[in-house]
Amino acid sequence: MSTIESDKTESKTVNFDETNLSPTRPSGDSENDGKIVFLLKAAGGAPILKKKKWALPRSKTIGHIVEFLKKYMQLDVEQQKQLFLYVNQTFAPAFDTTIGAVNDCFNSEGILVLHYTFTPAWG
Amino acid sequence: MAFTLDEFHQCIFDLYEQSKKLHDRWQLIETTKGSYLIYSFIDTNCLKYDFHIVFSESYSVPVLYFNISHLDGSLLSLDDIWKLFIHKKNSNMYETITQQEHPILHRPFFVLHPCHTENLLRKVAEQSIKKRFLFWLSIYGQSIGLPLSINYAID
Repeated sequence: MSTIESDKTESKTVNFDETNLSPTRPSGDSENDGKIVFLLKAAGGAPILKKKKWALPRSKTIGHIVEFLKKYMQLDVEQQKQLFLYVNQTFAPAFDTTIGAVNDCFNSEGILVLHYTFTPAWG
Repeated sequence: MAFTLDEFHQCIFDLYEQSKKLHDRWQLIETTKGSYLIYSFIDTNCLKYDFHIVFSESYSVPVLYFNISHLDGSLLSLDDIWKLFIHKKNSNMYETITQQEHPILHRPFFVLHPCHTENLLRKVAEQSIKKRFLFWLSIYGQSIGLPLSINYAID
């Protein structure tokens, strides 16, 4: 699996508001300033992120994270890949599910683990 | 990776039981030709959605069949369906939606083609059959507007 270098965001512009999605220092708290802390783990051959731990307000949706990741990983339309986020290693919540709801069901010892993988375009 | 028919039956039965506990509306239909699950609802735009989970003998995987109709009974065409999903989803999903005969009801339904299902299931190969079924349903269902509560994922 390849590792995404963190300096790539300097060489290419990421046209996305990153103020709401920031890497955090590891902490024992489940919420920092009302934010949900989650860990992004690669699965099924997806590239591993250098920054794995992130924080977001409860009201942000799964869809928001997927869109952010697609831009962050620079997945373009031509790659024809669909990115999926799933929890508990086997459930992909609907895109309009809030991360607060997912955290409440699945956080373990204050951390929410989300796996991400690609699927090929269906057809 | 593949499901046996018995495993499929176990999964749809379990989902049906879970649905009852969650006061959801999955229905289990058992016929001599095979068993399947149905989920029906009417959305805020007065469109009736019917989703069927049926077993594919040739691919040995579950397949999602669906129809969307107006309340007068007229079915949406493939073009209408494309327009519907492109507006709903802001992610790019290039689905293979084809129209095929439902293997048990023998009438036309739209179907998400199962050729990539095994590929998808490989990513969760080490999980239990029930978890793999839920994984499949949560991903395929998302792309065609099947509501699936996060509560199904809680053991």
